[in-house]
Amino acid sequence: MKEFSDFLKFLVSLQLPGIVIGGVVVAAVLFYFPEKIEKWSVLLWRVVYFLCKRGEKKIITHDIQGRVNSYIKSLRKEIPSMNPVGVSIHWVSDGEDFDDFVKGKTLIIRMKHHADQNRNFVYASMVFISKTLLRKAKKYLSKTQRESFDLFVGRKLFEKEKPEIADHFFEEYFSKATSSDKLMELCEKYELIDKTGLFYPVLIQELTFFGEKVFYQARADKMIAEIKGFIDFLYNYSNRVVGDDETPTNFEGAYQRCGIVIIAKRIKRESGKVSPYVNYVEKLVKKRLENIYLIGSAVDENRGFIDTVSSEIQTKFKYYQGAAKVFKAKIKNPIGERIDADNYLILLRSPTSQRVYDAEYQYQYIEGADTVIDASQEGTSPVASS
Amino acid sequence: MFNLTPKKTVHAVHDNDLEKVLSRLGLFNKFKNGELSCKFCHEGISIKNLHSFFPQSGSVKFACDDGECVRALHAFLEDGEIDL
Repeated sequence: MKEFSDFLKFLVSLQLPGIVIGGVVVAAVLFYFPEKIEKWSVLLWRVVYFLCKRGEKKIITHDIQGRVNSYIKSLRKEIPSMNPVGVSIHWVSDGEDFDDFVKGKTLIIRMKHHADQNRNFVYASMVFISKTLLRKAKKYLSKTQRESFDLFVGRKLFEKEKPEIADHFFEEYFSKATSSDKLMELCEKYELIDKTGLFYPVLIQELTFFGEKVFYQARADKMIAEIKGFIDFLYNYSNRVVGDDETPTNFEGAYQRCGIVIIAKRIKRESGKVSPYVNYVEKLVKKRLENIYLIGSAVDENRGFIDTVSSEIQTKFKYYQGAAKVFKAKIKNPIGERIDADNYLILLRSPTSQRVYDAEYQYQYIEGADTVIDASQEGTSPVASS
Repeated sequence: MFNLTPKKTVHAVHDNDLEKVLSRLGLFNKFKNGELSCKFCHEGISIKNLHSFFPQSGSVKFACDDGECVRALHAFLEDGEIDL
């Protein structure tokens, strides 16, 4: 949106004739907000359908594409390095080459009349999510873990884009699917992690990085256990109350290694000294933590302080900034009540992240080292608090 | 409309085209007579419960809209047995 308003200001500054500005603005709206245009066009096609019974497929297509792609666009802001893909509906008719279809692997889903559009939207969205969400990481996850992510993200999509069907989704789909206790337990953990604002920017972000790694083995119990440990680590972190210095803030697995550094206690911030944080991060760097998340209040003075700490870490350890964002969180105050907070997060990435896990590395650091991945065993941050 | 985001295509058949498409696949009579069954639960497939269909080993398989079958279908997609 900011890019668009900057563009408009630039356009006005050129003092072009009104008709040229009008044309450029229309083109810019199409360029910046194609998914919004799709949503609006559904209304137009509904009118066309009402008047002359034409445009049935257009209604279904634009409704699904507009809503799903709008959500995907918001995910791109949540997880800058994720590069999620959008959806496009292709209608199969009798003009297709069905010889090729039978030889191939393409799924064709059935769409009902647009009067049943909620059903169409749920089924099309869920096959899309199953195929595209965490596409690379999923081959290392258990069936329950994979399904839990699909269900939770599906629910988030429906809550944002079609809140009126979220209940229907729960009743018709979610409740049946979550008949498994393990699945239910995982979704409940994501709910809490999401409450503290860390579901997308940390959990899904880390799994995206995990999927980028190259393993010379298929789904393995150790990987599944490590992901479970990581989810538990974030779940425990999300239950942390402000000021708690006991809850682990680092996760040091065999494949996933990251830490959360909470910045800052007011007294430390007002002293202006970044050295306690930088010295602590140095310990994390020595432990080969690949991703470090600096998290703290987004109030101006604290945000500036986090930026200063981040710059110092980047200069000293050559970590680079992977993302920076302000997000809404519900954190626990010292008496255990959830309170709304605007938080600020910076992701710093190691320049030497382990990407290829060959047999030598596997033996040296994983098989031979008998790695402990129980998050409860991890040390805590000496500077955690706030 | 301009949209530079890479896209994944979801193939769909509308109820209005279902008869023609199934006829081209040589399956409409079987569908009409209730002779097709769900790949996952083996229940009969009809217009009331059809969710989707896909090729496998040279023939066309059908999935019904029962929650368990839809979940099994998603697992198929994730494992790469079928694609969008």
